[in-house]
Amino acid sequence: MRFLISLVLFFSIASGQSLEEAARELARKIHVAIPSGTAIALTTRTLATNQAEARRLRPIMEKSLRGLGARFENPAGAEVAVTISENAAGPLLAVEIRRGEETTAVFARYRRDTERAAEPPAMTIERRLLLRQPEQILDAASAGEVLLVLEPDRVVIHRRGAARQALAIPAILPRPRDLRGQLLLNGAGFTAHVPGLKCAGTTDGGPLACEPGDHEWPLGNGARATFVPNRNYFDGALVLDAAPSRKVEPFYSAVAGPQWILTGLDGQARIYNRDWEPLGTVSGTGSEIAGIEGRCGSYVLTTRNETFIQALESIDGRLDPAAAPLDLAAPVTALSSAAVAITHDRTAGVYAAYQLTLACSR
Amino acid sequence: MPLISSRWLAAASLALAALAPARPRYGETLRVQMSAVIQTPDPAEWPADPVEAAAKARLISMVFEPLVKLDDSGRPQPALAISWRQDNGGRRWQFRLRPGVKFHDGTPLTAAVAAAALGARGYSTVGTGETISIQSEKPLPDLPRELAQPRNAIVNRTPEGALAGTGPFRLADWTRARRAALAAFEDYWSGRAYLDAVEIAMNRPPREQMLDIELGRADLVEIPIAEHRRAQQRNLRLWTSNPSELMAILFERNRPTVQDARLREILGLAVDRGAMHAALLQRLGEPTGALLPQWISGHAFLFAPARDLARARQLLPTGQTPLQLACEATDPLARLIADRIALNAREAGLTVRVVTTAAEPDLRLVRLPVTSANAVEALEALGQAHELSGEPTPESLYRTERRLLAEQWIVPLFHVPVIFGLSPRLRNWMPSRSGAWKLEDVWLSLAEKP
Repeated sequence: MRFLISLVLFFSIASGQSLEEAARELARKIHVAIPSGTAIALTTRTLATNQAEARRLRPIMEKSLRGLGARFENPAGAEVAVTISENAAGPLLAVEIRRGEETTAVFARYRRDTERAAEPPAMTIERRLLLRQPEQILDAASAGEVLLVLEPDRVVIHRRGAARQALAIPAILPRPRDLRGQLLLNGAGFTAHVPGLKCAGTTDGGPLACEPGDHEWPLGNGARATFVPNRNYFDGALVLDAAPSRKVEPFYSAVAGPQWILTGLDGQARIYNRDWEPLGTVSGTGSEIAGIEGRCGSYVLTTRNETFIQALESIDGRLDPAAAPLDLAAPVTALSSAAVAITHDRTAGVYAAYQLTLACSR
Repeated sequence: MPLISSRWLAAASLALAALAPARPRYGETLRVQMSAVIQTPDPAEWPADPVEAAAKARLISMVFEPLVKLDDSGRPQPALAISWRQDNGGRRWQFRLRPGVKFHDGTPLTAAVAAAALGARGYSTVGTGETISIQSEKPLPDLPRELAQPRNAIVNRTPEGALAGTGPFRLADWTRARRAALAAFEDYWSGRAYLDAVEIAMNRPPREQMLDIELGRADLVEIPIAEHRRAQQRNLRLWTSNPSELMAILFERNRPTVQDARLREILGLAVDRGAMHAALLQRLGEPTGALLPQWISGHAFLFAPARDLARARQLLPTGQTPLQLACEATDPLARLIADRIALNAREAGLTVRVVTTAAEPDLRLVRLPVTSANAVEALEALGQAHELSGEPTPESLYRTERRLLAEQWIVPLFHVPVIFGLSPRLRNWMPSRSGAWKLEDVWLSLAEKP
């Protein structure tokens, strides 16, 4: 639902109760459940494999309970066993309180911090979170203070300090299940492609003009290709601004750079020179491929192992790894020509868009 | 060119070919086998047998969709309704329909059709424009969860009796209790399925299912827990769900022989779950004293069962009548567990006889599917009447479960997973945590090996 949108524009936000806050909540509940002045025997343990949380938990619980006047003495009048557990909704602190024959339990939910640190090799792929939201993201593009987001049914314009604007895209059915889209910024204008539809608009929120049909999608370097809406690939007929049209094998995505690289339906990436002479074939690049350029040079980005982005260098008809893979911690669903990666965390039900860049040194 | 050299480069080069994900491939027929027998696809005729109900829920959710669905955490999410709100203390609900949805017969989904479908399920409904209103004299705090149940899916019934749904697959053929053929629905609102068709063979003995997947004659089969080790030894590709079935002893409340609460407690204390888990269940699943599995409630460990033969013997009344424990004749694992229960009972001084056919057994060994990650719905699926509604707090859920178990009419034994055997070419297999299928996301690769 729209009101659930949590926009994270150029910065990330934390939400949900932390382990520390949950521990303090539990201390209050324990304080209510045990008569004042009762000596407590406190134990903590975890059912998860991560022992670090359990080590953090005990001092927080002790401090919180002491703050409420609890005493830790022998013999104890109450046994308080705190367990780090988990249920379908997420992590859970469960406390069993035993006083003689009487047993009660109190609970507190919390959110686990899953961010992981990356190793810093010589060249690194860096990410910048553009947006995180429950609605599906097909593509995103940013320029200055404007962020455009292509969703299945609309283009949303986010501008710092201003209310977002949503421009509806007409529904064209049937759609492919793994819906793809392309968003291209061009100064104050933009073009959005979704299967069976091409739309043009302006970043100031002017009306969106959409035309149905099997349109050619731009690939870069003055090349365009026709997208087959129901099968989610390009049919291989290339229209070139500076050369006669030509036909190649159908492909999923393309990189236009010093060389052309097309990912075929058979899982092979085909590399061509500027004149479309074949240079080589590489297996196992996957379907998503995008170019990235910067101070480090020209490289190719692909997905690996579902959640990783890998930078490759095209050398003599091969694609060689060029930087340590970047883990985006959720399956990558799309890589755009503007080096934007879209992820979908199925567990959390959240899509995210990241701007990827290469850093040559630190 | 930048300086690029590191040990991971070599490893990354080697890994490149194997790990790069490919886009899904469209086409082909998925061949599925199951041991259950489903009599009819009609959601309105819901089976009382929990095993058939679980199989039917898996199958028909591909064909018929409800207004609301439950996510992997058991929370209501939009399905055919894109939003909803309640007023008058939950006595009136309004659901706004998703636009542009069609039934398999081409009929558009309208509020009038959806209201009629739910009206036939006993709800007081009015459909106007894009909105369905449901009214009740009593508050319905749980209505979205209730409507998410497969039996409440929206069905368009033609005067001739044909059923049309809105799901990713349409019913192409149905042979009662034997076979179902599904075909991809080209106009599915959430995108056409990758598969062209799904063929489902019912009533297939487990051994034959395993043989068929080994010989490449099936793509998706059920693997009984007792066959799990053998399947591993044969290098079959397996997928194991979270524990999503409760094995339990259920006492028959109407039998005079089990009215003495001490007898029920004795059996709970005498059963050696640990030994059975190791020897009979091949350590799959979890021994339990709780109704809900740990992954749903987060508190099952607080009901950790403890065997206490000494206390069981202390409780033993004099002149006990032998009890009859019934188990499913076609379930070899259930028979083995029932025999162990009888043995453990004898160790406590209680006489329990295992029977596979008895008109009036005193107690039964049952396997109850946990078909939802939603704790409230899961308790209902287990046949446990409770007073919970809405989204219960962890404390209220814990208290409810403790109360339901207090009189020991049900003695939980194990939470066990469901296991599926998958063909090497099956891709994107992402069922829910409880094992519900999402075959619209599945595709079949050309390659023989993953």
